[in-house]
Amino acid sequence: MRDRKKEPKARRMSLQIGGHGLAGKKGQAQPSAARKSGMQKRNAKSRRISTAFLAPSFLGVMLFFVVPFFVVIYYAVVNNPIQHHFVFLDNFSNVFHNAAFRQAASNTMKFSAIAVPLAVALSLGLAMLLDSKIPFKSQFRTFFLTPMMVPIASIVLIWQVLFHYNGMVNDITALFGTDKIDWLKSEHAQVVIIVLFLWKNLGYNMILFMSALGSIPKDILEVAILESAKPWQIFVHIKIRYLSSTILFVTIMSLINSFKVFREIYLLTDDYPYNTVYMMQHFMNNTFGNLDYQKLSAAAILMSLVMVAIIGILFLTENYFGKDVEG
Amino acid sequence: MGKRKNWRGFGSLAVSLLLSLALFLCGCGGGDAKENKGAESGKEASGEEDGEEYVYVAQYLPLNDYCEAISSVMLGNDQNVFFLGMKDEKDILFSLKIGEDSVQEFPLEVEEGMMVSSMGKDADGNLLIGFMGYEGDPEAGGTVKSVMVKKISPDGKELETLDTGNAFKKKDSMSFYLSDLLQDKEGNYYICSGKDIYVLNQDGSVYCEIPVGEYISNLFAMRDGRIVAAYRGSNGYSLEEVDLAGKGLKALDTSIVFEYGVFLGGTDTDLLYTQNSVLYSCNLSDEKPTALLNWIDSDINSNYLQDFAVFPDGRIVAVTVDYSSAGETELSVLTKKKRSEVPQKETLVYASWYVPYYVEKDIVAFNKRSEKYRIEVREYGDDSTALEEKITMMNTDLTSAAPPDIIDLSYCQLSLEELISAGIVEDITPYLEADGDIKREDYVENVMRAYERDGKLYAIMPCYGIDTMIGKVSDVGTGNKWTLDEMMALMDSKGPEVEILEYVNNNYMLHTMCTANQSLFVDEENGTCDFSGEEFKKILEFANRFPKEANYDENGPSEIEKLRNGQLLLLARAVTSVSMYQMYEYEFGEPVNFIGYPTMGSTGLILTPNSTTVAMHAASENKEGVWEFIRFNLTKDRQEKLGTANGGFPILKSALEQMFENDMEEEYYVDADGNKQRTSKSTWTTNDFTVEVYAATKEQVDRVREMIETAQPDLAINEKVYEIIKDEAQAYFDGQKSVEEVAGLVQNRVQTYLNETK
Repeated sequence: MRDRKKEPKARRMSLQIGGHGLAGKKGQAQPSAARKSGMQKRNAKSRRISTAFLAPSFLGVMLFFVVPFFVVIYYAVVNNPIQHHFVFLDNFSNVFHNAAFRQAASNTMKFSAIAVPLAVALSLGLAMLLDSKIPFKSQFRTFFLTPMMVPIASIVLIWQVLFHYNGMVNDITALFGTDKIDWLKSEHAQVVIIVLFLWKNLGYNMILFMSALGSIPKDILEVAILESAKPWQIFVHIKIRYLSSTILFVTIMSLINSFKVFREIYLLTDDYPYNTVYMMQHFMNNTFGNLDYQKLSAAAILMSLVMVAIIGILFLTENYFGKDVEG
Repeated sequence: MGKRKNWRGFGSLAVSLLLSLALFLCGCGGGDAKENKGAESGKEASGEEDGEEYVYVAQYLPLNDYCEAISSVMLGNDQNVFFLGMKDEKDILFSLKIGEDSVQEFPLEVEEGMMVSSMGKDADGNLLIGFMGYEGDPEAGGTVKSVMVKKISPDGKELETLDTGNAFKKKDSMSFYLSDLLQDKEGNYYICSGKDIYVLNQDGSVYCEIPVGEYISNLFAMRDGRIVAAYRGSNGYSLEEVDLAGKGLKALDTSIVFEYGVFLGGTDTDLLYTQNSVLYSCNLSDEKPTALLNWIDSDINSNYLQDFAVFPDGRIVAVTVDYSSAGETELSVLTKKKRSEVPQKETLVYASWYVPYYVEKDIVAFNKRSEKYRIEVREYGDDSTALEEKITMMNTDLTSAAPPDIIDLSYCQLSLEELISAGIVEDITPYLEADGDIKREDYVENVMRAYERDGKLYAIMPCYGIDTMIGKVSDVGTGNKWTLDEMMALMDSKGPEVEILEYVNNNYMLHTMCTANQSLFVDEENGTCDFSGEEFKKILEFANRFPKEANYDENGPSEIEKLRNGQLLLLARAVTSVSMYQMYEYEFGEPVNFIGYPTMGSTGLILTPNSTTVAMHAASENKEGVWEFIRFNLTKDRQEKLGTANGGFPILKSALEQMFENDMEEEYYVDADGNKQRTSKSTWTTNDFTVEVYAATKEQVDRVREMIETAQPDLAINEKVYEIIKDEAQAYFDGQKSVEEVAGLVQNRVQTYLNETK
């Protein structure tokens, strides 16, 4: 006969918990008041431990995300950071009517509208290409991943060497008798930035797509081939559906990266570039430098609303195309 | 039930976390404020011991009460101060025991033809008094006749006399003078004269001459007796010891980086020195010096420091001479006290990333005078901080929860328009209107308007200069303004060997022309610009006539020679006094016209602040105090003192007229025959010439008055706009792009900037 009092504590606990679960399920008699009190104490202790572990993260999120978010909203509805007079939507109205904001929003939208689909389509195409049986697959993969390893300062230097007024591209075009073009200070500037963006981001997107392509069930593809499905039918009806969540992810990442292209533009062209490459981040960075926090905050809120809307639409699209795959 | 418990748990968790977050944020704020204070240079003046904060409290004693004029002053080794002055027309050495009122007087035997020149100390604390005799006028072309040094014990006994014989005879009186005088333990004498150090044997013969090549700011003995020279060389500021064996200087073995300052040997440490208003103490082996105090916190202007010492009982003693006045000499004894024991004043915080000497002077004077307020300096960064970082620190602080009360507009990177737009600066008109003593009509109106925007006044410059171009009447005519076309025509009328301005490059001209004519291109109020017109292209073409790098010809003719023989046409200078106006007239050698910068519209004479020009922070909790400081520099007493020593023209009309009266008043002296002789009012000395300036004529004063009344505010070109212009103009200067292409790019980029600011 076993003496329950001498049982190891851990063992007793597991038995009690098991017993409680079983009793509950079967709708039998409730545990005694003493056992219930013990359980409550243990649950409370467990919660305290959880709280202690969660607190740093919670505090961090509050401090660095939630509080600043409310601070931004606050700044967006006061006249300036000194007087704090409530002006409701005046700052939003000012921002809407600001020519620089409109220019920046238009440029950013144009850039994203061209660069993001290109980044998704080209990287998907490259992934498909590398997924097929071609020679030097490994070398190609390394080649496209190389830009990820190059520091941003070096990338900018390379682009300056290429697209400066006295750069290599103009030297080459001069061989054909063409006049020099100031690539970064002309209507062509956004093309240069799009090329830079694609060069830098294609490799990463391609790896994501290659991974997703590799996870498509082989049996489905084999069945499709046996059923005499054409390659485009396999692509549209099977691969795209299985890739839908990856496409969404790559699109969102590319969209975010397209907003971050400011860094490269800033290093290439300074804080007031030619107007075709003046982006939202320029507007925000410059207004911050001029202590115009109210304009900056209003613009940030507007931009975040647009981002939320775009990402929402992307989620809905993904749900629509990928629902039967994920079941 | 269970659910409710969970929610209650979550609620208590959320509440406790929010509370801790709130406490954390409160802590952040407190920490921030403390950190800001810690960044103040003034903070170092006080310290904390056993949780109690200490401050140095000063007692002042004006030494001018004891004699007529003090020529030299220094602290002795026995807690006394020695000073040389005149009493009953006799040279007297005074010795004042610190803490006692009595002063001992030791009459000095000065040989005929000799003058007291300098005072120093030997290794035992005896005094060294240097005498110099001249042949001819020492201030104009004279030469040195003889140099003598007398050693006097602290009780006034003459111990020995060093006669240097012919060692310095015939030296130019303008370049040879005794700036420092020392004797080492071995008995060698050291004379510092500008850029040279002379080591003398005990018999007065020269042991060696050490040419340093740069002006030596200090020659002093360290605690261990080594003689050290402090000067700014090609590798920055450095301290080097005199190497008698090598007959030269050798670097001190230390990792401490020194900047310009006043250096002495310490009593407990190797060095005691003042740098950027802070008194430091250090041993050469230390990694960094120890800050003892900030002189400003004890209402002492570090720019006026002559000598200082730390006494064994912890008191710090300083002697200052106010060069902007008639040489008022003051002894200050600083005693360490608990802050709680010192009567507290309301604190105003002055913010800047650089504290110029005139601000320090004004703050010290205000703190001494005000019984209610006290200004503390918040200087952003230190010597090791990059300028951009300092500017960022200041800009961030201006919008922080604990902003400064006083903003120095001369050292704030944000323009007044940006400060107004951000709501940072307060309109001081109500304070001016409510003030019983300061009446707007008593001040020069166009100078008052310099910081007025949309009918609101944000700052007042108490003292100012006029920035202008100066040319011969025969070249620029007698008009009071001219255009760029006229300037270009003048340039074209002369040969290619003639310089229009000395040592200027294309960027300088571009900046100057864009500043003077910015209103033609940029309309910041409406957010528009027009760089596509002919005027801007003309400026680019004009600037392109100047070289990319200004060539300095060391062996070429001097500025005055070039001006007089027609090789140089114009000077671009700031005029801050009538005597300076007279000096330029002399330099050109014929009638001149202060015509201003060429503009395409209004006058080209520009008002430039030459004194503490501050704005009131809109969030200041002590606006009355800030106004007290602003008005302090506008009072009659201050205004009459501000204009001295070429410090600029006062804004108070009566003080300005008083200054003009003084400028026109002849000065005389009585010669040996008892005849009244006209004498100069001031002497201007440059590298090229020396000129005696006599009383100004009414015409000269009238012209200066006219310049002041017609000058426009210093509307410095928006730096962001100029950066774009400069950036794009380089391609034109390099011959890469046409002037039209550059103008188009400038238009595009500047318009983006202006759009953003609307």
